[in-house]
Amino acid sequence: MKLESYVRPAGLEEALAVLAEPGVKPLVVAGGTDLIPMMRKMRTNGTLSNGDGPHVVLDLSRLDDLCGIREADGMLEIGAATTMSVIAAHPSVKKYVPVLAAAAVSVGSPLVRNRATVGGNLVTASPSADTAPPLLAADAVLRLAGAEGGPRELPLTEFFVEYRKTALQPGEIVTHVLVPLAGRPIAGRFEKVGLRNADAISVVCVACEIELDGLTCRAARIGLGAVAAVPIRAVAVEAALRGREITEDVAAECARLVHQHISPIDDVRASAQYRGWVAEAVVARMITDTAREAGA
Amino acid sequence: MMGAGETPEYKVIGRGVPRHDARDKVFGQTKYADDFVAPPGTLCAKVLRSKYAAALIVSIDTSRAEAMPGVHAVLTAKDVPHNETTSKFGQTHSAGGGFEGLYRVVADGKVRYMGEAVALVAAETLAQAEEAARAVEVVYDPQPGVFDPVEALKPDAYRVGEEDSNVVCAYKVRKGDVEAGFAQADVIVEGEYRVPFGDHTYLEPESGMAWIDEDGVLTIRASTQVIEHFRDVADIMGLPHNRVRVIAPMLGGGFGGKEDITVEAYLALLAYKTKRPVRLTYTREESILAHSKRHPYVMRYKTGATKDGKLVALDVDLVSDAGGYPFLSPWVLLYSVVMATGPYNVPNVRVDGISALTNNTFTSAYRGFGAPQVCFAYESQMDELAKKLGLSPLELRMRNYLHTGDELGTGYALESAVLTDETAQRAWDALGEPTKPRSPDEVVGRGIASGMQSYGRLVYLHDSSRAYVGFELDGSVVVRSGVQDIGGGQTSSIAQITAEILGVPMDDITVYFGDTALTPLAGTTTATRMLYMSGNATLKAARAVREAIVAQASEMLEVDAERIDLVDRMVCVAGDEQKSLPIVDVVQACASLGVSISNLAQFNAPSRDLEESDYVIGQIHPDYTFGTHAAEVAVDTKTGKVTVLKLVAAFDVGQSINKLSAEGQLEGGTVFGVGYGLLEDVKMDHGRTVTSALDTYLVPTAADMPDVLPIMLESRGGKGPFGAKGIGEPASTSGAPAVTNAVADAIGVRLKELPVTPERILTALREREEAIR
Amino acid sequence: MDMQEIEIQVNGRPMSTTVAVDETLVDVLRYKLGIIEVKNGCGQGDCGACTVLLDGEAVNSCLTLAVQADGHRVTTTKGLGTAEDPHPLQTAFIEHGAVQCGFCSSGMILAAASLLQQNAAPTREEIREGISGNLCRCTGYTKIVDAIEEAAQARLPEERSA
Repeated sequence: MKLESYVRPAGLEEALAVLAEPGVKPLVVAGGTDLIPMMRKMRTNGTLSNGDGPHVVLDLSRLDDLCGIREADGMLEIGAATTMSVIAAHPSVKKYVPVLAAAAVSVGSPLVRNRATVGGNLVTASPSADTAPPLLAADAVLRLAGAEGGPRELPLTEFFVEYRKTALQPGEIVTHVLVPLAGRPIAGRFEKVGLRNADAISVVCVACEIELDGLTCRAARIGLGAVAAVPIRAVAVEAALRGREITEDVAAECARLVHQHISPIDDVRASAQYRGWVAEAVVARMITDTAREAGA
Repeated sequence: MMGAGETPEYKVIGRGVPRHDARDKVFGQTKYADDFVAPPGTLCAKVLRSKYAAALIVSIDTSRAEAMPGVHAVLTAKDVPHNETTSKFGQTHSAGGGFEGLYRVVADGKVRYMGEAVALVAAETLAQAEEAARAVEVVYDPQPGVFDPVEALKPDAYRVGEEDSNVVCAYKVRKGDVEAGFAQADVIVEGEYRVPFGDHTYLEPESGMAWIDEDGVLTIRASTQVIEHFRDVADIMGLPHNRVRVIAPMLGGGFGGKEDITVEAYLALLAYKTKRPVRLTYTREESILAHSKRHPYVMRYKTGATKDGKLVALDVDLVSDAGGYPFLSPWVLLYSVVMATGPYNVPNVRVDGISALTNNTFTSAYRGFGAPQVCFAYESQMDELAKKLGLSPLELRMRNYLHTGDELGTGYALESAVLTDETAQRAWDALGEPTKPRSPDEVVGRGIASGMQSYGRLVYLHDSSRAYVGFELDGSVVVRSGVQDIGGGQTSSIAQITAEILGVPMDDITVYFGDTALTPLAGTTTATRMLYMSGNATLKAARAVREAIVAQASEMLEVDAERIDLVDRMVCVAGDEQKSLPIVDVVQACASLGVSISNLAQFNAPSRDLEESDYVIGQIHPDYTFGTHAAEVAVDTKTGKVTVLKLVAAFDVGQSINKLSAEGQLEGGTVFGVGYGLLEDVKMDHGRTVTSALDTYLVPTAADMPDVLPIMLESRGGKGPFGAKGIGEPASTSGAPAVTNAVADAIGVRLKELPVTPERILTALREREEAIR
Repeated sequence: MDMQEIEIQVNGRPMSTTVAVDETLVDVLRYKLGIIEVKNGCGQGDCGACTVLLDGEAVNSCLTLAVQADGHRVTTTKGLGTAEDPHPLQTAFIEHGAVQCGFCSSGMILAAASLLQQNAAPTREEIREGISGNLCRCTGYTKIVDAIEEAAQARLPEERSA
């Protein structure tokens, strides 16, 4: 990486133009809460000032087009540069996608939340990105924009390609996160298991949304983080729940299927074994609690 | 000294007065070591550290680095006048017996831990210094190394140092006859306990600046707990002691991690070589990598008791990991061996402790200094025993606490007040009604742990402290003492003591501190000794000044000295409100008459010499502080996560000098306990620090803690000023086992390794489920 | 590399300097502008010692590029109050013994100020949540929570809002 210059575009068009310039390697930044720790590691390794890599820091944090939340065309439209603090407190988010509000308030610390953005969280594509599980559970769609052609939309389920790699094409950025409003609010839960209560990277992160007729599951969506190379949906669990009346036993039985999807690792925070136990236990508990709360 | 039962009336002692340093800190005025303006021409230092935990250094080529832009010096071992010294670690007395040890500035021919300094660079900018450090070509011959102290003790183990053995030291305590004791026991509990490396995680990383002043004196300003290291720096440089000056500004925390030399020697060498000021501030990652760690221990305990719950025998084996260099490992092990019994009266004791070198990061002083490790073991044992005996944890302890006059394992009879019983009862009672579980997945438990911890240094070290107290001609007061203020109110306390004795408001007192050139040396800020030592020295000096003032006032007012008191800047006479004088008038009269209005006093702690003996015998420390922690926790049985619901810290502080500061030590020390018990673990993989930053080495945040309820007993039976006892370390000794005992109570399984993490809890719960099936 | 001229309003005073793109706000404040009351404890957003108010919001200045602060307002503890005219939080911290080594205090007070702006009457639990990004190794947090609770109860004058 060799950072040579800094550009703070006034509008989206200008930002996309910079991204499309040939020979310019842009490093896109919004809140900087992932970027700067990364730069720090590179500085320690001595790779921060090497010739290769991004040259221009492109700051999207002030783009009005990308900040803010509104309801439009049957969608909750969240600007990619909206901070976790704003998302956590926003009445529309709390009303329509409370699992996202819960996730946003669990990221880092209050200080980090005032800068960290949902776009940054998703684009960094850490397996433990905390906004990914609830947005996967909410069937969110991303709006992407590049200099060529118009914007395109991509379901979040197709966004995480492999470990820390997304489906973004060169010159593309995420501009908005869209959640369909139809049928909302939907009963759901979010649970983050970390090693301490604040400023903790998830060891296991789970979110669910369950559409219920009484206690019978019409549809379920379960998002998981920190238990595979990318954030995932536990589709086997979802399929098993469909049409079933949810009891504690049914929840436990379906939750066992989560192991078809997760491939947790041993790392400094936890072992694969622990992550597997907790993923299953939290999914089971979450299904039961969601049903009970909705039924009440 | 007050007797027990008398409640003295002090003017300021014991009150919760705002600290003078708190004001400057809150308004952003305080300068810590990295906050001083660097004079023009100041160079930036960078330390090149070893890539390997164990390796021979085949060659070092600094030529490329030296030629790089902005580089003024690249130094290796050959450039250090005396790269190896025998350090007394801040003490004045040569005690012998392994209490002095090798201090090596830069690796020479061999590296013994990852993070050991290999070369030093000074350049015009930090980036240039970092690049130059990377350009130093070191050829290593990696060696297998040894990473477990038990392995390191085996005869064919890799030799970490230059000696034939990896043994750093070994101590034995014997009391009575353990075999006979166990024969009497109705119940015996055995356990092996393990505790990990710990990082101090002071908020302020190591930092300093060095320069040669206008008189040619090598001056180092550094965030250090020990300005007495000026002697070691002088020896390293080959300079007379009076040509090296060390200044300690306010520190952003120490906890023992800034007790050894950190940046001072590097800065001295580079400043001397380049003839320029040089500055160095560690990054957090460098701090975690390079400075001392808390000793990991393997502890085997065997405890026997009669069915009446009386302890009859204790058998202990301790192995500590000294890391790559001994540093204070002998001292720490000695503390552990002496306090291995805990605050309990055990008639038959055998303790064997041994410390071994490994190629892990070197271990040294860390708040508690060997006492928290054994406290985890003996307090876990007590709960296990209680369970087997069918007694409550509190009741078993009550039947065994030491009291004044009882003997430790070494045979030393406790002289001062011992109120452990009362601290335990009050801590337990303060937990109140048990909290109900908040969900079917949750279990709640409670636990207590009592501890003992010394204050004041080992008596073998012949410790002393000095303070100067004097009036200025306008009635304001100056205190000069080499006190290093690490945040515990070390300077504020001596101002408060002076205010009490001289009858002036605290705001009338300026404390000059932490400067080997200008302040009489107070000794190290370590071993919970500052209040005891510099407090007593200040008390002595202030009393001498008071005596002179009172004598002069007595003449001026023509009344007996016994009727005179100094209150609020006035000389007052008991029983005669008309007769009074401003103190300043007396001060000026003294000055004119040639009567001294200042005093430099020295306070000596009890001292002994090391005897020729296989065993540790008699008095090892000046005194001990006793207390109890109580905790209530909730455990989520599906994830293993622990929520700490309630915390109580009940201690006999003897006499609090500043009530808020004393409570602050109880509360802060308790959080160290929670961290040790649940969160903190410096993970090392073959000598490589895996938890390299604060996102992986976890200390408690405000969201991880409940309120801590401090309960202060004041026996006035300590050896410090006004009967005070030291509290800084004692407050941190028993926190962890209180929490882990609560966890054991909640889940019905005892974990014997710290930290008690959610994963370890869940694993234990599942293993028990399996076993039941 | 491009050196960029930036101007930041620090505690109401415009200050300008030249920075490299990869310099963080904390380093520029401390070493180029002499704003030493902002501390650097970890450099990657884990400790909160570097907390400043950026346009009134509490952030880690170590996680902000200096260039990103160009044209914006930075408030430090000196901007909240002084010895002559202290902010209620500052007074409360002093009086409650919520300051020991003091290295976390500047950042902690700003995080608390930011919390009280959003929530004028927080519970003790909300206070703990609000300062959960600011590590303290000395106090155990209890007296810090006491101080913030008291400051919340004191009348906060209008002009205090950052």
